[in-house]
Amino acid sequence: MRLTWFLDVAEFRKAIGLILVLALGAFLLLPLATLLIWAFADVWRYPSLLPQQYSLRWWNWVFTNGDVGKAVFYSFTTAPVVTLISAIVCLPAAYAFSRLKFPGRQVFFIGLLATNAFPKFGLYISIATLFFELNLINTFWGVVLIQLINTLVVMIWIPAAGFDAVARELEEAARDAGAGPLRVFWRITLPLAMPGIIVAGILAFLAALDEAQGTLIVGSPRIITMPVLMYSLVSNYPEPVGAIFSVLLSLPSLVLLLFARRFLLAGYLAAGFRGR
Amino acid sequence: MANLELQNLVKRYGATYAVHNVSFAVHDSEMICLLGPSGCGKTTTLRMIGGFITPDEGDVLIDGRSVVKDPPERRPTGMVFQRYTLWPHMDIYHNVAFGLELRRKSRGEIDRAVRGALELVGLPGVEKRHPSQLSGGQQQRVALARALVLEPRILLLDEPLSNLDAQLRVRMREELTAIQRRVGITSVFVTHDQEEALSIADRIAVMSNGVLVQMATPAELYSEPATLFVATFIGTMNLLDSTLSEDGQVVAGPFRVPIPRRNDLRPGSRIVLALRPEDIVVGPTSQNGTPAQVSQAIDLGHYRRLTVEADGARLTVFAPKAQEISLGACRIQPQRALFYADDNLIGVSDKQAVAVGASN
Amino acid sequence: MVREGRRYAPAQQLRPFAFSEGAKEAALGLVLTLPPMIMLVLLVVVPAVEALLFSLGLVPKDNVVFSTGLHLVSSPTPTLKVYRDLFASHFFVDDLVLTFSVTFATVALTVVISYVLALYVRFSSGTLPEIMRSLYLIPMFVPVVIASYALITFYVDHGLLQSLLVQVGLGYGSPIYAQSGVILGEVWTQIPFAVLMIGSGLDGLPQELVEAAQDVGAGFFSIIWRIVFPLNLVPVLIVATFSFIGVMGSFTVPYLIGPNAPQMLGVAMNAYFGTYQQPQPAVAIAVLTFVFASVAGAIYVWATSRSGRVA
Repeated sequence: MRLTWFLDVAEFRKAIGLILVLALGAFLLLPLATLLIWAFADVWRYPSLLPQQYSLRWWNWVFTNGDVGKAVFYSFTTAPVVTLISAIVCLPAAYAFSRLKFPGRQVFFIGLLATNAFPKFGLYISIATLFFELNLINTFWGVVLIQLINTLVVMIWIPAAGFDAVARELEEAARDAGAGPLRVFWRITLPLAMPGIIVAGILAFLAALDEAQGTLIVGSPRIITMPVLMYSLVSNYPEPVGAIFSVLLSLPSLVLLLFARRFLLAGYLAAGFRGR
Repeated sequence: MANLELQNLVKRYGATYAVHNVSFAVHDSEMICLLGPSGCGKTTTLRMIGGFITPDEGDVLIDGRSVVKDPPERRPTGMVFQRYTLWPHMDIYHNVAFGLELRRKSRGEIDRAVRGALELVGLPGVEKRHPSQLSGGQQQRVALARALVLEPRILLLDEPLSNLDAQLRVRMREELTAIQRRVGITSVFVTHDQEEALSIADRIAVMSNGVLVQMATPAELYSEPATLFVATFIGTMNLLDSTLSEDGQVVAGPFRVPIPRRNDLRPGSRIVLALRPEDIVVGPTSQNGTPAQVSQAIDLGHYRRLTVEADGARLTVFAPKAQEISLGACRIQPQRALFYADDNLIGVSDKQAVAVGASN
Repeated sequence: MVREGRRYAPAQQLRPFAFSEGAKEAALGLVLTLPPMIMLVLLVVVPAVEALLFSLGLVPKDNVVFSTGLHLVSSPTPTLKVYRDLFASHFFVDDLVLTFSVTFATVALTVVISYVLALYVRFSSGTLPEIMRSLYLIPMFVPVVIASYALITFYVDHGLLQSLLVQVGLGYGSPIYAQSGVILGEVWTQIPFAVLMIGSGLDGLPQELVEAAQDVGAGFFSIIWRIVFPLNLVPVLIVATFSFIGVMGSFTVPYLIGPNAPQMLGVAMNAYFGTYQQPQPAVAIAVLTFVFASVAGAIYVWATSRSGRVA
């Protein structure tokens, strides 16, 4: 009997599949579930599987905390601004990488990857002094610039793959019917590449939202975002506070996940990273 | 040497039947073609023989033993696929040797077998090359070698020549037939090209919409197609709608043809008269026959293709090259006709029985 | 006849100076690419070069943060003293060893786990694989801070996991605040990207290649080992490279979950800069991390240029 006899039996195959799904589900979801439970707990002592006491008082504390309000405000103003600027700056470049031939194209593209390899923290240290001279420390726009760095690569690579996926014949047919280059881009290329652009936008938004180190160096104490606040909450306050904050910080991600499920085709992400 | 038998195979996808109750037997060393248009179920049937699809109902027997529960790696079948057949990361030697290595044969045995298989398909000496260095035809030959080297009892071919260009296809199918005869292996070949099927098969199974419509030798299929579908799918056919007249004649277009008396056919029933283009003889107006007009004559090398109009009917006629044909008035005589009622063949009229007359 | 004061040129077309189509395209391409490139130069390249120079002992006078660091090594010409001092410190060497072992362990685990998941999704059908497809994307949408915190609360001593295990009478040693905890957290965050990449590579594998192997008698593991693996090497290399670079320089996971000593390089950088007020060793560590990451990046470039050649 061969070693893998069990793989021929459909029931065993299904069982293995079920085990895989349950194992992965547990691995990924149980820690998140723990946080969710903590958000509503007051007293939860080992070895109980569920909290001994529930309470919503920490929610009250979080919502009335001035620092929290400030962090939420700045998180949800910097992230959209960063995404917008990133789109304006990067999408034309993405189109250029996809459709145009110009000297240095390969070099630039590889350069994009290379800039990702330098540890952000080392950059932030140097950038901090530059911003200091430009009076960008402790300002909204300073934080925006810092968060922008994390989004540049994703806003070029993935939309470039999206543009690649639009068959040239479709553009040529439009030119043939009399449309000029700008109209072709607006009415044909851009709409067809939109799923890739949306995916990139979502990832850029999440990257900006998630950014903590740079914002800490450049923005605090005046401009703080939720991840920055999270570091101190986690260390200085009891578990429910960190848990509640996590729930709040996860909400935009969750909404985006449900929205993006349609667009998050593996092809776009993978194509972007596969190299050109 | 092996027998293959399919019994009542059924495969459903949702509410549609991909294969609906297909049964047939393939005898030792026979080459059978599964022929039909896309979507008729021929590939699904082949893959059920190979084990890549499990039928919902029915059985597959090889030499009397049911194999329907066996996965592909344990069936004594060898498959040649339509495309992406060779593993691109291995050279030809290892592509062909793969199955033998799995069976832990000795290196000497493997070497001999691989060399023999490659010689059999006419590609000696290509062991060290890679698939990308071979042409499409050569790749398919290696795929055949790979299947045959394991000495399967049944050879399955899934439209192996469809991706090759027209001339190569003709050459390859002749070689394929020669190899199959030399080895004597029972084979099932799937194709949508009726010319291909007619030229290589011992028998052809014509399929349509999941159903086996007719299984017969190429000659039988050509001369007595069992349904209108087969009649039109194989070769060219002239079809004329008509009704059965009171005196047992079929009046169709310019022809009036008697039909052998049958009890189930009442006067007025709808009959379709079918004539092969080569079964209509065209002659000058001085000869006997139905008056007609030659409206078009295209010279196709070894024969002429005529468009002949008579009594509102438009007929395609093949005339021999030597015959003098001019456009305009002529006389036509049918030599042989087939009768279909309710889509099924109900009678054949040959030369003697056909009477010709004006339809007035 | 020549007219007074004027000379007629012979019949010759005077062509206006025209740009070729190719030159126009090149110009447009450069113009469109310029904005992000300029940003990258200003925000990444310039600071990186400044950091490099500073780590070589060239202290910029106008840089307040740099020039007020403690234990500065200042020299008119580039010197490797900062690096020598780092490597002489056994704290740093311990940090380096920890970083490498965590990185390699993470990459190995990520590749194996993601491959298994990608294979499952590729070769099965039904509702379970569909669930899997959504499941493995989850870490992508959870901010790293939250993920780290969630892992801490679950895996920590006397956390929920230990509560569950104690119900069935099993003992437990928490990985939190230890090296294994960092590996756990890093793998957790790397899974989505890895599965997507490897999965996309598997999708590009024609089913006929697998069926042909089945047809000649190959069983499950033979097919995986001899057909699927060799034809799917490039995506795996890409995953390995990106994971390597990401984990090498990561901060949040080791900062929150990891041990106090030794530390991953990202955390060490932070410590030198913030806690010890020594910016120079901090940027030196950054440069070193970049060097290691570049080696991995060079492998990536080599791998993707090779994939262009394989049919």
